[in-house]
Amino acid sequence: MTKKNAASAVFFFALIFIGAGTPGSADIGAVDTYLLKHVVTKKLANGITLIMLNRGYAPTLAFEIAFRVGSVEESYKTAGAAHMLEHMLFKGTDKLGTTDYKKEKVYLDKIAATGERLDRLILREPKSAEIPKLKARLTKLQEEHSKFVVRSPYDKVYTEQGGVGFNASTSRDMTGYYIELPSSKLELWAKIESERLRKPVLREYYLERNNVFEERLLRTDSSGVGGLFERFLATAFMAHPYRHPVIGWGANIPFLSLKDVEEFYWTYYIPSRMTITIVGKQDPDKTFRVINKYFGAMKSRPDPGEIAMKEPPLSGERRFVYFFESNPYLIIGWLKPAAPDWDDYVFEIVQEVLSGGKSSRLYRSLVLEKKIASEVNAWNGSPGARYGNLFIIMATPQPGHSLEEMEKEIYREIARLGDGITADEIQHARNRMESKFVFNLSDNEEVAGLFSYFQTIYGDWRELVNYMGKVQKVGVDDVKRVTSKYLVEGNRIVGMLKDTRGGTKQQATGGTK
Amino acid sequence: MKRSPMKKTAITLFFPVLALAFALFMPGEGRATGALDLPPVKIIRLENGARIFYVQDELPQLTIVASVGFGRLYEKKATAGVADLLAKTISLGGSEQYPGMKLHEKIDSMGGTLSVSSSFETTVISIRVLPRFREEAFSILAGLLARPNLDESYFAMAKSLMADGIRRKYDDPFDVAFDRTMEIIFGGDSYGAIATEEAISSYTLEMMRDAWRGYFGAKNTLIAVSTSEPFGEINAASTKYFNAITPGKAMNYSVDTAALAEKIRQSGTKIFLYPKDLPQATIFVGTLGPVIKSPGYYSLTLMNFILGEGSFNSRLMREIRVKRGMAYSVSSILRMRRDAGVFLAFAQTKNENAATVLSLLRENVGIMAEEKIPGKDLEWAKRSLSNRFIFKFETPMDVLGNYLDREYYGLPERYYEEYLDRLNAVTGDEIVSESKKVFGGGLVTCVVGSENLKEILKGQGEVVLIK
Repeated sequence: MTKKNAASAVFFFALIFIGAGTPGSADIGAVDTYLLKHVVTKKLANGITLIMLNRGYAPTLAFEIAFRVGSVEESYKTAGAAHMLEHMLFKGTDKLGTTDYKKEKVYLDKIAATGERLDRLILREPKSAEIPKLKARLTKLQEEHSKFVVRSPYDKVYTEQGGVGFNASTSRDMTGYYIELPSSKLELWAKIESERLRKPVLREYYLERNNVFEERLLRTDSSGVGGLFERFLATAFMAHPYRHPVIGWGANIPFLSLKDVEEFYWTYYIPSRMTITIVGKQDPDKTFRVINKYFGAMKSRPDPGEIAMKEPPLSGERRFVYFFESNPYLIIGWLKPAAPDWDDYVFEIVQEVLSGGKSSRLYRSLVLEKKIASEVNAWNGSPGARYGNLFIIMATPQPGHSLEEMEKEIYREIARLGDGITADEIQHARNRMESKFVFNLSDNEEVAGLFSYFQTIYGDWRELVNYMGKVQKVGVDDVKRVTSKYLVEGNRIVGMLKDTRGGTKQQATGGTK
Repeated sequence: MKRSPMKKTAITLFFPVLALAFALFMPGEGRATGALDLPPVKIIRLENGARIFYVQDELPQLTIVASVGFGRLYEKKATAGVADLLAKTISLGGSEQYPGMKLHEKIDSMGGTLSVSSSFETTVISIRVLPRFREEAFSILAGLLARPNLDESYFAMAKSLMADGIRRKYDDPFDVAFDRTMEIIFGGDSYGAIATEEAISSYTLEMMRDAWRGYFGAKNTLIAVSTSEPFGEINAASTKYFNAITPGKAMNYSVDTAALAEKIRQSGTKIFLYPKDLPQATIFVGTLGPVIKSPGYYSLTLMNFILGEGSFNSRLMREIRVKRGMAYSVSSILRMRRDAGVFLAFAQTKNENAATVLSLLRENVGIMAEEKIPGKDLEWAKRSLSNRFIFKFETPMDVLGNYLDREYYGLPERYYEEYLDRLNAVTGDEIVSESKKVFGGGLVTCVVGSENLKEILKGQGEVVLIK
């Protein structure tokens, strides 16, 4: 779940959906008008937002449930809780996933108590003689508990009903749960998901925590670029929780408390932070009735509020080198504000001008002309969009060229951008964004993702339309101004991944210059 | 190359609207049958042999995809990477009409996307633009097919970028394990033709020209068009631009499965270990698979769904991840293609669990060839695959893709109409029997991870370092 969808979904004014003779397309007009006319938004009494769009010829629906909560809501104690909770919501309820919940609950309580004590002892008294006994007890309890467990209960039902893409994701800003099903399964989906979110049972927690640790080994600890990016964000954000990896730190996942994860659920999985998006062949009136019937019973709870934190200015470049058995990689980032600050919209254009396509400034210069890089990309809005974030450039050097050489060339291109950006370039950037928006509407899942993202992050899916309009007003002077204001040495973070093979083997460092 | 865009009139054939009967299973209600009216696919056949499949889309866009029968499966050890290198050269060098930067500027100024890439069986050139750029899109794509700019400077650039890509690919243990397993199963040819930096640096531009001349003919290319533009416009544009492609001939590849199967049998329980200093082991087991038209296709599709492809309730996922918490990533893959097939199962787990996970992979694969699948599991798999069948037709591009597959693989006219009946007719005995054919000769095992794995895995078979 990234801002890419959002960023690329700009500029669709004057685009025309041509009635193509295919079912459902007869009354499609201009895209913006079409969306505003056909997207139906409802608010349930408990605060849940429902977004629906009837489209397509195939009787299928894409469902997405999103919560405005991500790892940005975590502390050091709870780092990884949002993602862990997402995993645990695949485990069932007191009705689904169990053969006898009353008997199972006895074991669940014992497992929780044993697991909590074991974690604390390993952390604080690693030589305690009690640890092996507790480990054995936990294993025995888990074995006995397993007799009452029906594993992967949702997956079993959904797969059998023709579901595809049953999955979930957690980002710094939000958490999403999705699936596509035949349209006839609407009510089944609503019944299952409403119970799933209302009364989850976080069973087999410690087994799942192991799987999350394996996921971290896969994505971060076995990947040079994964490790580099983790260190990069922790260097860029000194105070703001954007510094925490979504998956949690390798050092804290093995001790992440079940109680904390449960608490996280009760605090943040509340109707006012929840959006349901359904896109595909449907009757929106009927869909609303079904959703209201099942989700209307979710109880409102008070909102814990937003993060009271603003990342302080860098006040000087931060730089580090990370060593790993991997080919070299460079990341440069600059702190900047998030939307609705006007400068965020300007950076959408800067991103496109710098790295949108093979004729973009960075690709043309570094890859095609000077041949010092094999890849180069710019990205606006990392790692999230709810709070001040980063504009980043990532590049890989070609053999015989160093990270430092490539870095200098990137700065030259940025200087050239500030001096020489033209109205034509901005127009070409708009053309690309306009096209990407249309291309992104090709399937239900993609459309549902767009609506869900804008509603969850910006509070209204229509911001998709407004956002486009604002980006369209960006001009040459805007680009020049943000270049000189933000893309400067004192506001940047530089991270380098260097290969431990064939050179001096050094320990990984995360220090600042 | 002769350029004659006005040479011939298109011959158009209209496929009837495919009223697809598909099975809908409702728990406890037995089987119901519904019908789905799909957008019609029309085909344009040009005199040079080019076949253009058209479907109308409600979105205001134009996508043209040209699929040339040339990919890794056509390569041998000595030519590994040629298809990929040719694709990259065309991607950078463009065509005679739009060379290099002129092409990139044109695509970017239109707000379009252009992709040239090669995969296992095909080299695909796809272009996507807004409909107002129809003429440009057809002209660009036809130029890339018929008159690519195979120039030394772009070729050198492509070689350099491809060499870097090969180096970087080896940063990912999954990619390393996948490639090594394929290389061992297929003896370094076809599916297992893995390009090296050294090989790429030795290739000449003349090799690219030969490959282009040999494979990029109209008879060896399928073209798909999905757009909001009416058929008449596409018919005219196709005739105008694609008639310039040399007819060429339909090409094929061959795989000596008997010889390969014997080598796999000889490898026994050997474990090929590619050392990489990582905290997590990537474990692959695999063997040859049947071709798409084999009689066991439906049985093996169900087998693989139950074994490792069918989500969290597949056996591998359940045994390794869900029950034991030993891996995040675990699955199986079965690819049955025109003249070759492959089966792979894999998991990624921390080093200390590697022996257990390898044992579980082998055991669960082996069971498929020995024990009849319980009736309820088989019925669950059939219902699952039947109910999700509709998603093969969700978008106009999906519908078009099915027609292309049918054409490319030479599948029966009523392949999709009969698909579910054939799937649902499979018995448990047939699955065991077909699985025996695939797994009876043993499995190749390949692991990427720490050198300590040599000690950890020794109980599972002889460990052979392959770096």
